[in-house]
Amino acid sequence: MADPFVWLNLGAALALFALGLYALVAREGLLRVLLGLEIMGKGATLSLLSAGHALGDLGRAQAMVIVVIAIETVVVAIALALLVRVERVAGRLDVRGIRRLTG
Amino acid sequence: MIAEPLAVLTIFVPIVGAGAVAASGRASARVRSGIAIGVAITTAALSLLTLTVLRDHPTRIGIWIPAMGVPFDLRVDALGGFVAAIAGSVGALVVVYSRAYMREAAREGYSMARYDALVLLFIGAMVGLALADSLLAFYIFWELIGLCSFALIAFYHRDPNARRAGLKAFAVTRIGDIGLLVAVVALWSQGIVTFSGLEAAGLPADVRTLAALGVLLAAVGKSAQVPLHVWLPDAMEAPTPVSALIHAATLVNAGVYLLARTAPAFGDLGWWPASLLWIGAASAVLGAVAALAETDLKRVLAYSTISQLGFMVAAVGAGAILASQFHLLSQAIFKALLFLAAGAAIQAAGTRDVFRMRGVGRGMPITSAAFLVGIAAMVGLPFANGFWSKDLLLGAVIEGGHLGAFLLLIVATLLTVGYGWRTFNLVFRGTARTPDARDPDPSMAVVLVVLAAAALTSGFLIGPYSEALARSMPLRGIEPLPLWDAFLVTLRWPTAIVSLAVIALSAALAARPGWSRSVRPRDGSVLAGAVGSGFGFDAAYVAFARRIGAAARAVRRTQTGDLNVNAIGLVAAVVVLLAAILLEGLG
Repeated sequence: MADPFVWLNLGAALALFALGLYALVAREGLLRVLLGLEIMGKGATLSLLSAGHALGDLGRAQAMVIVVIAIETVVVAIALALLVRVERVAGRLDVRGIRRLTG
Repeated sequence: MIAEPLAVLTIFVPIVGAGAVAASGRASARVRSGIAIGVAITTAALSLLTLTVLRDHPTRIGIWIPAMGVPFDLRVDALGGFVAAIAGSVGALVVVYSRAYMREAAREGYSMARYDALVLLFIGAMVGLALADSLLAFYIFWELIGLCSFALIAFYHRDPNARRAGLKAFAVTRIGDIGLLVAVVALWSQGIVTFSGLEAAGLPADVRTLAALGVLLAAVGKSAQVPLHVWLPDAMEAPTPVSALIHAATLVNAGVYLLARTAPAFGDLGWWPASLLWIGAASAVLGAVAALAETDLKRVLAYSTISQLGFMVAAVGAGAILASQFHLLSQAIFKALLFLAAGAAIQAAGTRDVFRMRGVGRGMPITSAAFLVGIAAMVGLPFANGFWSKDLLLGAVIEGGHLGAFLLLIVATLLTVGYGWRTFNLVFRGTARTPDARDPDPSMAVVLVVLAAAALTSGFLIGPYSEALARSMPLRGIEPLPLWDAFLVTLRWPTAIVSLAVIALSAALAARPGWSRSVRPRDGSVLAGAVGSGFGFDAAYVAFARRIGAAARAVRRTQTGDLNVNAIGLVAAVVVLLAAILLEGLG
């Protein structure tokens, strides 16, 4: 566990995750929120790879990461399609535009 | 070894036929209707053939979920076999009748493919329910008939009342369905997955109580007993053949059948038979009172069904499975007859109000005669089928020593005579308001004649019926009851007095049709108000629903609709979960 490379990677993953989380909870532009979500995902994949390296099972980690990337692509595609609809229906592209579920 | 394929065919021929009819939606009406009638008659033949191969033990058809030990068992004994035969044969008559009856609805643009498919699915599901031994299969068929009844009650979907009635039936019976689910899961937790297993097992007291309560709730909901009877009168918005199907061949029988099926397991609980006795007796009286005051012909028959089902539920409570199930058969036949005859009369008169239908029978002798036979069977005039089953039932209740319930049932019996003759006198006798009313299409008239013949004769089958029941269910302690012995039962003193009273009252009412017109609750009277509002049950349910709505509105305030806030909630939940996992790992 003393491998500095692993620590560096985990630190970077944490930073990416925190950055994405900030965008997710604090930004109002929907594109930024989506980007935040994606950055969080990148942090998670990076930590997966680091864990694989540390445990000496990089192959399995890479296999998982490939799957994650494939799924993220689908998520982004659907999310962007939704955003286009939001823009058309609400006329704006921020979280205030989709508050119809308010109680 | 012919029983199993026969039973499987009886279940799946109508279900597959329903799919075929639904798929033939674009084909010509003649082809579709031909398929529907063919499938229905095949089902009827198969279900009647099944009666010749009854056996006293369940058979495993297959295993659904091997890992969890969930089998698909069938049990072709007399109890389920006759319920299935009723569903198949009365169902086929309803399908034949519908062809001419529903012509007008088809012209108005309602989909007859959907109608026929739903009716066939309904019949198939009911046959499956009657023959299933596996609790899970039973539960699935139970839900299927609930779904079909919902869709068929709301069939005239352009009428908001029909939509509302369909939803009401679905929502109210759902309360009972939850009871059944609870019972099935409770029994599953003890490794019991079939009715046969339930009969044999010794259960822990708490599981048994839970299961008994669930079964009771399920039956009260499906068989429209007090206090869950409120959906049945409203379900009269359905097309009349569907009402006949629901009231006679399928839906409402399921509850009573479930009670009879589980009675050996729960019969010695004390509170279980006692509640059945009182719920049944109360429903019998309440339904009869409402039927006497109601002015809508179909709602009179609906309340009468609640009342008749009350008799059967009370009989199960008294331990008289034979009498209860025999009355179920009688009711199925005479109630189908009454509904289908009423349907012809309603189409001829163009209204359902019994006061405005007056004299519709003048030009329709076959329909009048059929309705008269139905009334005679319902009130229990000798020797129509209702006479035999009602006397057996009353005799069994008094022999069980349940004096209170017996008195209530006698009151209900006499009220039945009252509303039966009132309905007949009002609708079919007197000077005609619609002189051009004529008997319906020959295909409908034939169905009425067949049912009338069955109503007059099926009571004489008590001998073979009781013997089949005794032979295929040896553990139930049911004795064969030859016709002559059954006749002697009707001559014993409390029941004989009741029969005499029924005959005397019938003669008096038949001789004086004027009396019927006088029984009309005035607007604003207590009785009219009570019947009009469903004895206050509806109001209570609406008040309860309002409370739930208010609670929902209060909780809704926590929903901001803000994406960022939702994201924070999501992250917080993940953090809490992770913390829990970590703590679990450390501890």
